[in-house]
Amino acid sequence: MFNVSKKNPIVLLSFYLIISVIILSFNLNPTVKAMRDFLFYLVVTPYSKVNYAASSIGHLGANLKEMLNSHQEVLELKNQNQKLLHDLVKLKTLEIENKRFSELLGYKRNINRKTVIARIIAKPPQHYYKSLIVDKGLEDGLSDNRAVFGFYKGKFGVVGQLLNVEKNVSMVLTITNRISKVPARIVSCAVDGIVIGKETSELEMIWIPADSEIKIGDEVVTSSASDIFPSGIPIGIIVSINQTGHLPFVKASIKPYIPAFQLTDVFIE
Amino acid sequence: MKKFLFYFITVVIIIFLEFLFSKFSVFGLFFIIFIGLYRGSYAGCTVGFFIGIIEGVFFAATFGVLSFSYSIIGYLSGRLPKRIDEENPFAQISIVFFGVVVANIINLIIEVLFTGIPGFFLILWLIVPVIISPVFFLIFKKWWLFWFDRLDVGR
Repeated sequence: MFNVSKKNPIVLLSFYLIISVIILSFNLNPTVKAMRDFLFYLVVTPYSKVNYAASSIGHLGANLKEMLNSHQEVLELKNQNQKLLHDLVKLKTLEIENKRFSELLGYKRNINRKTVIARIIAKPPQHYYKSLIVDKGLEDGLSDNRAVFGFYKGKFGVVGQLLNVEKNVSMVLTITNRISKVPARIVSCAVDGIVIGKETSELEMIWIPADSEIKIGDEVVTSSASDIFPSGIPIGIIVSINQTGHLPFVKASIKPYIPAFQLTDVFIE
Repeated sequence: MKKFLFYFITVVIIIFLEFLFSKFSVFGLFFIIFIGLYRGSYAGCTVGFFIGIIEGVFFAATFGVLSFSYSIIGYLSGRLPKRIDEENPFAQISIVFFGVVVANIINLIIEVLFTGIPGFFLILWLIVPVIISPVFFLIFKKWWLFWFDRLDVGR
């Protein structure tokens, strides 16, 4: 048959086609199907493992590259984060400053045109509760004994008065200084007295008539008896009342509205 | 014996490559056409039958379809007139193209006849492999000459 088919390939083709048809007719036979599945399993299983290993090795380079890229990205992001944090702090500082300037501007519109806004440039530690140095002086039209006010947490009040005015700087004698004496009035009972400094965080109001109906929490403002301060400017509130023995007067401790040493700017009138 | 070893190793390599590039499982068909063209109908249909059987186990939906169609393709490529120049790349592309189309048509008919389920006529995505088939022919030729001294056209 071999020789015949070699001479006449059509015989060989017919032979192959017949075998193929036989295979086709047994195609749905479970045994043939099982054998086919078994062969498939034998060949494909090791191949799939080899393929998986090869693809894993192939991915190794890509994974390493990705790791390196990620590391680089993390470093860049860290730098960006630092920069953003720096910018954020800067923005917050600017926001606070902007708010303060807005408030100052609002006050500036409501006060005397001749009022000068001065920046506090020094708070000498040895003069704590005694004096401040501001950046305005004679050249800005200032002179001694000018009233100095401050603005703190929405409150406007007395800070002190100018004492030594030089060319470009001035010293402010704060109302907490022992030598400061400001004529004042308790608003609720229209009683006058003198507010003096104690060089602490509190002030003291003396010469309050003992029979006056003052109480803790009463507001104290400047009185019209002062040559330096306009009347009605808030000073603080009464926090305690002290008897003075046999004298017909009482003393009151006052918490000032404006903590002068926490300010950055003052108004000079 | 040497020829048997050559065919055996070649078929194993082709099946391995078809596993590797399963989307383009046409290397077997290209080799069948190559053998048919150069070695004649006898070798063509024999190689076609055996590659068809092996591919049928792993790739065909219906076992026996590929052995049937590939045997015919191997036989037909060996029966092509001698005036066709098998070295001409355009002739190679045309023969491979018609071979792929005929194989697909035979597969469709056999599938319908034996299972009642028509398969797919996959030809569009084979365009690129068909166009580069002269490269495969060159590789097959070099592979043959690696084993044997000369490649005589046996058609």
